[in-house]
Amino acid sequence: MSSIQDHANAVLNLLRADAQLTVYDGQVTGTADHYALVYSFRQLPGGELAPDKTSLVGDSTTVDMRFYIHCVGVDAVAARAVQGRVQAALLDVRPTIAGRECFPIRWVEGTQQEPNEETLSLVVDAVDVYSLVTVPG
Amino acid sequence: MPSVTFNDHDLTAWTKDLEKAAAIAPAEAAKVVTKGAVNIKADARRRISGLAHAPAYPRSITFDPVHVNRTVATTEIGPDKGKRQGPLGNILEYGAPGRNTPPHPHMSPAAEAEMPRFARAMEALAVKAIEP
Repeated sequence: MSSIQDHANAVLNLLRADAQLTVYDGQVTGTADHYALVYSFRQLPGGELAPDKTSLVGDSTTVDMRFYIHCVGVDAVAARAVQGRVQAALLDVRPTIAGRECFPIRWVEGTQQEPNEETLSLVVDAVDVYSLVTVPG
Repeated sequence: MPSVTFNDHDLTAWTKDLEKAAAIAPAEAAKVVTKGAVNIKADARRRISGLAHAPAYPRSITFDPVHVNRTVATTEIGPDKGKRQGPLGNILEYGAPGRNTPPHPHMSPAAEAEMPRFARAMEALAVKAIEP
């Protein structure tokens, strides 16, 4: 039985395969001035929301894992560069998770680049949300 | 001289059905959009309730009056920045690295949850509108 962590690892490992990309998982733990900060949000859609991926008995076996990825840089150029690396690592990639069939990772939504509202710093943050949907393999 | 006669009775009746549907569809669509907006607002408020540092934020989530014309019915749902804690919407939905604040997705999931109900309601509206 694959866990939520397996799903998170599948995406984090894709990102970390890029040696030029600093990746933080849920918390900024370093001092890099440009990085991708990854938050995950798990959903278990039932037949109403994922009718094409739900078994006839209606069990909630589909996992729709959302990854909220903050692409942060010291300026717009740096933030866009991080966004591009994240996109190259994830978009349309079909990861491997033991016991699960993975659909290609898709982009769901995003926000435009904007300075950090709280600190009024020059750090620019753009958020992209990606979705990884899996079903029992 | 051979001749051909066309009976357009059914076509004429169908045209009248479509004209009737076009006449009632905008108002009916506005009702469906309003109901969907109410559901999304309530669901989003429920999903984001209980945050100690944002107790007033849920009540900032509202929707605009539905704008309707012959072809489109629209509204906008989300936090009103003019209301107390309304400006927190973006930070709460997507998180904020500056404070290590994780996202609390509430608007997007609420909208996604409503989509199948909204689609069914629009289908029912279409069927009702073109029934003779």
